[in-house]
Amino acid sequence: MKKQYNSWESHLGQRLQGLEGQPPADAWERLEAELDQKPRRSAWWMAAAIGLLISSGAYMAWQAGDSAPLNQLAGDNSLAPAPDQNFSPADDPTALNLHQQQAVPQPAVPSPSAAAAAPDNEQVVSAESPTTTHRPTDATAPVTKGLKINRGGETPLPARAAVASSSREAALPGAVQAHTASERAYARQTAHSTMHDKPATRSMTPVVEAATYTTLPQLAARRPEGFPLTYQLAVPRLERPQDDWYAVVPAEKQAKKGGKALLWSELMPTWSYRQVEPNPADAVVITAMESQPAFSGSRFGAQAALGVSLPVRKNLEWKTGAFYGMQQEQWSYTYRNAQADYYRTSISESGAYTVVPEYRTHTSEINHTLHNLGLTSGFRYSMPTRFSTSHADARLLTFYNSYQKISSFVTLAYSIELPFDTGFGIHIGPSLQVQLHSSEELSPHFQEKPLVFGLQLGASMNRP
Amino acid sequence: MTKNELLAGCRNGDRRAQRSLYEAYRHKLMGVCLRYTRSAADAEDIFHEGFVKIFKSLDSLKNPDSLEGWMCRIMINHAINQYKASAKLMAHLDVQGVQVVDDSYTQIIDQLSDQTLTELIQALPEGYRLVFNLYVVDGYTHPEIAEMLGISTGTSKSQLHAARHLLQKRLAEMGVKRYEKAV
Repeated sequence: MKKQYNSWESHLGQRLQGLEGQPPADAWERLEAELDQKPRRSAWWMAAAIGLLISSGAYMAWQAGDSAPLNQLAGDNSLAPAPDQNFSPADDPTALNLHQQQAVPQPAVPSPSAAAAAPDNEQVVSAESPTTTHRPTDATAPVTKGLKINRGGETPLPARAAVASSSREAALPGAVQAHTASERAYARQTAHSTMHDKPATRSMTPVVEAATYTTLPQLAARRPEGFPLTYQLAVPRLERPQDDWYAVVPAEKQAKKGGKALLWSELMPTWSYRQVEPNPADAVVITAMESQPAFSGSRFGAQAALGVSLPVRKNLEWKTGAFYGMQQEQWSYTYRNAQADYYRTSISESGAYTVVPEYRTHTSEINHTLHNLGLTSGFRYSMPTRFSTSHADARLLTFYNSYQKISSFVTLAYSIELPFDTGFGIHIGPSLQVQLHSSEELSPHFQEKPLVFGLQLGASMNRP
Repeated sequence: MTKNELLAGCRNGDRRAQRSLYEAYRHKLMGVCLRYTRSAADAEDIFHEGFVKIFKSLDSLKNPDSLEGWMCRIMINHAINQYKASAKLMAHLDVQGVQVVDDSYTQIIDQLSDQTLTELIQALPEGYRLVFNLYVVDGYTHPEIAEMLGISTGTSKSQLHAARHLLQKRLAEMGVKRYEKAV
């Protein structure tokens, strides 16, 4: 169909078609700078990278926090003896190496009967290995403990302990020291043998990684008062034994402490208040805004989150998870241009010339249902009270919706937890969310500062 | 430097060629941006981002002869995307019929400077301005406009109708103003 134009319209079109403009003076410099920049990564890539970072961090923290297998290992009689209240370091041939003031190190070939008594898969001691000569003279009776502890390692603990004590005896005041010249000579010999020649023992099925044994002597040296070696099995996970000393605790205590990741979920009805201020960059004046009743459908919303929390310090947890929120926005306002749309001039009878600015008023309506999808991450501080535990949460919330793109909020919450015996607990409490940033405003004429009030209803699982 | 050489240089990231292309078309494209936005500041944003897009998508230009039209379309599409990304405000204006003879409008338009003309078109509400520009100035049809803006053909027609009335009213006012000034 052929287009229908009025003559004036066609004329206006021609004028506008030939319209030219003057770009700003620094336009090319800005453009050149932009072209020199590397391509920006899209928001989706950023979100994916953050998600990957959080999941890998959570996985690593989970791995680090989950010491249950080690504790089970420590408490498992098939692998090592359970902690014995009557146990004395002097009874343990391995402890002899750690507390040498009670032992008399003698280079000696182990008793053939002891080697024969050990099962094949626990045969750690070899006749050629110089480490075996570091066993106490009476190697027969307690050898079972020592052999089982060393199962899977390439080097039996006494040999490594000797290596460590020879290298660290000056540095660590509480460290084990070789008291005799023969012992020191033997330690040097063992170190040479261990580091340069060959493994001191035959390799067994690894239960604890051989490499992690390197930290064993440090801890062993720091616990001279004598814990059974069962506890030292937890050491290989520690990078800083001194700081994480409390990780090496009896299995029962560890079970009480927990240390495992906690699953949590939250559901929160919300009520939002949106303070709006005219956008200073926008050349309009808001002339009226439709007042909204305090309780209306447009102010209510709902949020849900699901994630994991990991212990960081005593009473402090790191919480992270996925977030979904729904919020309705429905309001309207009228505005006019800051500058007059036109001027009405008139000349009075007396000859006075007056110019009156005239404005046109526009009405705009905002009517959106926002679906926010994102991540939440932050800390929870637990405050145990006499009857229940209360929590203070501070979290960062970042989400995406199709209107505002990326937005971020800070969430502050307080909740009281009602624990159950089954490792399940529920918590309830108020929450306040304050917007930090939003890529785009819902209206081009406003800067919005929303406050979201909510009532958290949460549940946590896998509680210690 | 021929147009093909210029384009080849731009595609290879030659800054001098890019600068030449920019200098050759900046006024024309800025005019397009001014027509499609409500303020000079918005136009500058569209102009900047549009030019970045032009340089980055020069590989997709098939026919070098249609370079100017292609660049104008990029600017127009970018302005439309900005419009879509913002809240789709539908201003409800009180448009009353203004009875002025067509010839008078033409005379008034002739008297307007480019600056006033730009202000006239920029003062239109967002939707009206886009549809009027696309239909009257850039020659798109209502079905095409409807597809570009994600609206119905009927909406496009009614927006154009309202834009015409509003422009007529403002032109008439401008005519009165000029007349009064002359007095």
